[in-house]
Amino acid sequence: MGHFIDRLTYFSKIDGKFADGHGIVTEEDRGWERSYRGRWAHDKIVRSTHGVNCTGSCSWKIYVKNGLVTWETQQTDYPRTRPDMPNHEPRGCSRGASYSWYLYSAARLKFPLIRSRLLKAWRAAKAKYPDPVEAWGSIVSNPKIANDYKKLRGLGGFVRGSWDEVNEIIASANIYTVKTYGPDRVVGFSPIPAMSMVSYAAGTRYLSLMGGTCLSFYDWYCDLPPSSPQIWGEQTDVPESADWFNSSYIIAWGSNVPQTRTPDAHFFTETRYKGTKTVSVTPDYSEVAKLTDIWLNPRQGTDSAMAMAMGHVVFKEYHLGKKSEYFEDYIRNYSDMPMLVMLEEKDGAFHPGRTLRASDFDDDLGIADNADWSPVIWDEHSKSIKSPNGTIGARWGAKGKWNLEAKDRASGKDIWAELSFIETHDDVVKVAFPYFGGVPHDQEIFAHTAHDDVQMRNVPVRKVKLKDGSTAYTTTVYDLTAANYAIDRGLGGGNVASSFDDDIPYTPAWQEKITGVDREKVIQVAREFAENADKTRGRSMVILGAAINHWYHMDMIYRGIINLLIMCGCIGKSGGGWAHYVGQEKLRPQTGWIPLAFATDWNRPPRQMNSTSFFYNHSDQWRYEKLHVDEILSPLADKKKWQDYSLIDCNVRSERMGWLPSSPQFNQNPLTFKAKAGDGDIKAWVTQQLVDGKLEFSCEDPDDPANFPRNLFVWRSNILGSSGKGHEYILKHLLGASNALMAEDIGVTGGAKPKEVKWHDKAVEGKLDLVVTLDFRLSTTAVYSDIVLPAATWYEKDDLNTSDMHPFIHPLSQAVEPAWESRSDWHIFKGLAKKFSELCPGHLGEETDLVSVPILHDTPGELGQPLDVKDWKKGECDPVPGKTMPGLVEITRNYPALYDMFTSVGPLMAKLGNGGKGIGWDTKDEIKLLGQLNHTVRKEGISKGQPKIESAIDACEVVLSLAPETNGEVAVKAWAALSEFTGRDHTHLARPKEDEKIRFRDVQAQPRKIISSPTWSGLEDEHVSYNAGYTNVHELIPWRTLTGRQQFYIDHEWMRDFGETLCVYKPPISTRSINSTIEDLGGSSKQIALNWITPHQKWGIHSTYSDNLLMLTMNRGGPIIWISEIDAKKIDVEDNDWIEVYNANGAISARAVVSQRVPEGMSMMYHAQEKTMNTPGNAITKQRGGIHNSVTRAVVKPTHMIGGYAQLAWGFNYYGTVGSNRDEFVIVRKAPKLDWMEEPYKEGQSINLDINQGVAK
Amino acid sequence: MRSLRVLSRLLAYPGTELQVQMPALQDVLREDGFLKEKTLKPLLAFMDELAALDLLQAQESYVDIFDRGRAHCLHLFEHVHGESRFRGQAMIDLTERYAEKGLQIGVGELPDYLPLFLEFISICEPEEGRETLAQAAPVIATMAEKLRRRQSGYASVMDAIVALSGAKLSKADILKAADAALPNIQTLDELDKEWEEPEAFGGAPECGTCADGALPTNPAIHATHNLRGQS
Repeated sequence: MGHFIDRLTYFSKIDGKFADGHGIVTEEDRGWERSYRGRWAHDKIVRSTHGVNCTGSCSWKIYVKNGLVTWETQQTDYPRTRPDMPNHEPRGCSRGASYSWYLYSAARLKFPLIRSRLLKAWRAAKAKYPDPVEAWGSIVSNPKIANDYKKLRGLGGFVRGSWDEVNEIIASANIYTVKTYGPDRVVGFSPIPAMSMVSYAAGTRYLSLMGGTCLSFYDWYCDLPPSSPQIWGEQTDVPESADWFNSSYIIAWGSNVPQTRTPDAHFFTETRYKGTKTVSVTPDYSEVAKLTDIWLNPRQGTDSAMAMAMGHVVFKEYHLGKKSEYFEDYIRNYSDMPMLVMLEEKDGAFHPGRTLRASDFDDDLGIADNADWSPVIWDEHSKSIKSPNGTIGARWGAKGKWNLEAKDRASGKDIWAELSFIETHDDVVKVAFPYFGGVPHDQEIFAHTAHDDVQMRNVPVRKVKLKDGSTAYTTTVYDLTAANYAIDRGLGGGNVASSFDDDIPYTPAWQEKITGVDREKVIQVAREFAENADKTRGRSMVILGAAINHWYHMDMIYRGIINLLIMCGCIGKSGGGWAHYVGQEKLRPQTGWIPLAFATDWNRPPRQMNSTSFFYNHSDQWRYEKLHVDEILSPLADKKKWQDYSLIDCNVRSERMGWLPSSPQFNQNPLTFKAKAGDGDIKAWVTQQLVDGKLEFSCEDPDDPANFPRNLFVWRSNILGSSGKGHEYILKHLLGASNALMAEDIGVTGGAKPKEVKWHDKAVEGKLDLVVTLDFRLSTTAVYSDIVLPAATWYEKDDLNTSDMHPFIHPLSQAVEPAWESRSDWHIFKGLAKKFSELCPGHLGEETDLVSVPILHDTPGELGQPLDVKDWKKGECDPVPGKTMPGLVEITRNYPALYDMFTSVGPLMAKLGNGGKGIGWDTKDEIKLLGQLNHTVRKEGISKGQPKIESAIDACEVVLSLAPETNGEVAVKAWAALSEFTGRDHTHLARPKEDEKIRFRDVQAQPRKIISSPTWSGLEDEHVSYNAGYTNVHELIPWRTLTGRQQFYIDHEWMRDFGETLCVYKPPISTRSINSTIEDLGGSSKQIALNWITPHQKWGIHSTYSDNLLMLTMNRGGPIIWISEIDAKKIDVEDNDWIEVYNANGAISARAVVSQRVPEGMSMMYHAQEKTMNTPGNAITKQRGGIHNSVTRAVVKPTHMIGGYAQLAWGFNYYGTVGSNRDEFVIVRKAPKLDWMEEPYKEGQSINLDINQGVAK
Repeated sequence: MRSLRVLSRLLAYPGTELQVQMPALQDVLREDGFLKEKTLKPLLAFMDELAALDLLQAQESYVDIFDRGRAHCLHLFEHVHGESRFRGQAMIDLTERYAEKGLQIGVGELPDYLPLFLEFISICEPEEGRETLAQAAPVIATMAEKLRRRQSGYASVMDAIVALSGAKLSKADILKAADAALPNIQTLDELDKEWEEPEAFGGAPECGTCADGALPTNPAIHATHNLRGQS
């Protein structure tokens, strides 16, 4: 026993020391360490990021061992900010940290997939027709064969295909479509290029070389704020998140920072440590509400009422009350407040009309060019009317006068613009202001007030003599603004408030009834916001987002807030301004990327289309329109003028006048025009054909097969599972797939038919012949596609990534080879280009295409119709391409050489140069550099001697070399080009970085801060954080608007007719989706109607990660909808019960989250939860529940269709109709039973709801 | 063991060659004689059926069963580690096992892909091979049970693998594992019960503590998630 207890079991003696006891000899077993070390060992770390739809743009370390990705962690090597400022890291959230297992999970797409029915038809056709293009033609021209595979979309039936075979099918389909219907019938959708710009460019380069259509995304998501172009002529230029730290008063208004801006939220909390006050405005008790000092909770959708009331307080106390000299200087110099507006007398009152122009006066006020585009002010020095520097007329006139110096453009003399006529007026007149808050809404939660729809208020005016001898009444925007806010200025008359407690729109007391927020709180926040801005010269900021931008009248909410920011001098100031962070995600090296993406190195211009109008039109959502134009017209408008127009009619007019783009363009193949025109001028021929009505715009008859979009590419996107407003309409009409649409079209309901669009009693189903999706997972969109191509994941490809949240550019890198048979987007489209070129002979050679181009912003063309709106089709004016109708551009396309063009930089760069936002510069040096970097093409042919673009890294180098943001030499050239316009030297902004050239390997080593460029209005500087409008204010560069200033007043005729010249409160529209017939479907179950709110989620970035097991496990593992405790009680629903949600548009099945967070009357479904995950059947539709957009339908707004008018001119993802969705209501009930619907498809099963017929009867 | 190679071929994406070679593959199974009649008969019948099927139909059914969702995923660690990060290390360990035998993966597949794994076993010494295969047997048996419930003939292939491994498995455990992975839920209450959260402590052990980490073991203890993927 003795030895047993004496012997050490676990330890042995150290048996030797050496080096004077500093070293010891041990024999302990260290084998256990091997597995521990092995656990964390890796062969290499590669820098990459998450590359589509997250604006976080966080750089990550990807750990690779034995050729496999093992895990990822956050990078921590962002360049430092400045002393006294926190750094950017850590950046990265739980979603990014869970990405790596997409790579090897069962959800991964491993092989090309194709519908077996399509493949079978293809092989049979190939056996019959040796030419693959003819084989494709034989399939799609036979409705029986085509419908056989189309109707199975969404119902499974895939087999694996080989790359060779699927490439051949896709290329054949494209060639057949180009040849038979026109290149514009080949359409592609991919969002948010900033996050993986080369992957985006791969597809758009392929399409653009072909003449295909690239669809916009920002407007379709409804993340695009139309207010931004309206006010600034700029789309979403915002402060980086670090600039939050420079603010001393922040309102987070409808932006849930900690949840949706996770990697940036630390700046929001850090700034509080230095005393910054924070306020949140959200209807629900959201995460950001928990973080701030004050929480304001207006009824959802009524935010503009609150913003107007705050504007009332600030304008009254700080401007009229003269509390801030700083504010007054700011609005005089940087806003349109002193601009003169003509008042038009009508029915005994004056209506605010268009702005006065130099051309209205004798001798055009000495303005030599563009006098009709030169607004005017009253100069206090000369006591006369002058047109200042910096207007849109100055921009496109003689160079050197487009700046914000206080000078008369004609004489160059100093001027001092008079803000108000309150003391100098000739008269005081009654001016009519529209009021929209008095109309009862069909849903009680949206309150109305008992005020007249026309509010007459006294305004001081001057009488001025016009060129034609008449006398005009005019006033300043400042005076109109004061009256619009209903502030009593002692001018007599009614409808103005002398106290905040008066019940007059727009006082704090008035807003109380609409928003439900205590007036005292509104007054307090407004005062604090302004007081802080005055003391700090503009360091008050509003962070705002999707929650308030997804409403039909979002521009009123946004303008209400932006007005506050401008009147407090916050725009263009460090720590101040408008911080909108949704959906755009800044592509910083934009001008370097555009040639690559839209192949402008080979052909100009590309075909681009605004998605909202495209889908509204071609998925036939207009056939179900329930919103009438007269419901949204201003009470001041001439109703007769609009009585014949439905919303689709407005869109058609807009396309015809060259305002919005068209795609498909005409009802004939544009490749045939040259032959048809004979020897004559093709443009003249097209114009005459249009006038004669022999040629029509496709939008005039979208249900004619000649006008269908035919092929659709979707990549880096889940359009059907995420952003597709009117999901079920798209399924039914575009795809011809099984759908849950319960609405009846106006043919059935007997509504008024559109006048400009041909009506077919029977709607078309299945317009698209081929849907191809590239993805790394089987998303909802992939499930509905005909061919699914397995894409490389974000750790398997090389690309570039930038964001508006931070100033760095950093890469996606190929850490491992693409797994299984997946390929990068660049590789995939390059392969398609090759196959396309191979198959062209015999079908397509060198062809002449005719591209119709809308009047584009930032081009001289934006000077379209200056004073009023005239439609050539109605004989009101001549059809002048590029002026009163779309521009027409002839392009030669060399189809067999498409691959050669795809893989090289074209000659137009050296020949025509590069540029953006209205300025251009020579780019020969950069092309030479690229030839050295990427080498030049040696092969004989069209691309011989041009720089190569073989790999994605080559493509990255093209972007980096051409962009001023990443090539200092180009930046200096760009600033010099802008200097010519402004007459002021701006090159000092980039000179210190002239020799800096950022290359792909540089950003792989460390994220790099970009170089200041005139593409953006802020500076990338060592002294200030990036903030939009900074160079406008500090370098006196005008905003790219009509007046050259930030605009409170937008005078376009359509803006006047819809009552939006000045910001007003507009309640949500009535979508009429829950009429009584639909309610009957619920039978005896308890039901409730709730407003439908679809915020960004916590456990996914849009639909990505929403099928990731790790993220599903952190929440409830499937689709959920939040409702309030009160509403839940009304329908006997408890937390976690299955519920059904439906309206005429479709239906959803989900679990209920019953929470105090949610106010009564509202339901919230985190958007883009995949219906492929844990979604049961729905008892109403007897189909699987849909996605959040199953219950929505796009409703377009006429004011967003305005074009050809300075800042209101179209640009891709800049302006246009938007897919709003939050005015929608749904019916909610407890699910009566659970059905997982796992039985296979039965042949002959109907793809449309029987319910359709039931409802119809 | 050539029989394992046959089974490996049967679990790969079906092509013309497989259909043409089917009689020869059947001969190998008969000649090897490792499979008892009870297992062999349904397997041969399935092979006949697969050989006779329209190829596109066979491929469509394969994609439906194996390429979509987790239930019958042919990557073994999907059933053991799911989307946990431990899966990376497990795959690396398995690659090292292959390397010890002087093998590297010559195609774009992962080390835990069942047909590939079977090929590896077929090269091992019979004893070692059986032992290794037996460690994966519970996962494969569970998949067999799930395929049986789906009335798929592929169940017979999985059964044959389990039989060749010689593993002694408790039928009750396998049924339980299959239930847990794809519960047959009829009512809302049953579903709620399924979704109840397990106790935070004292429940399933962390995947990272799996014995020796390298090979798939009993899936039942890992099947705490019952999320189903649908299309």
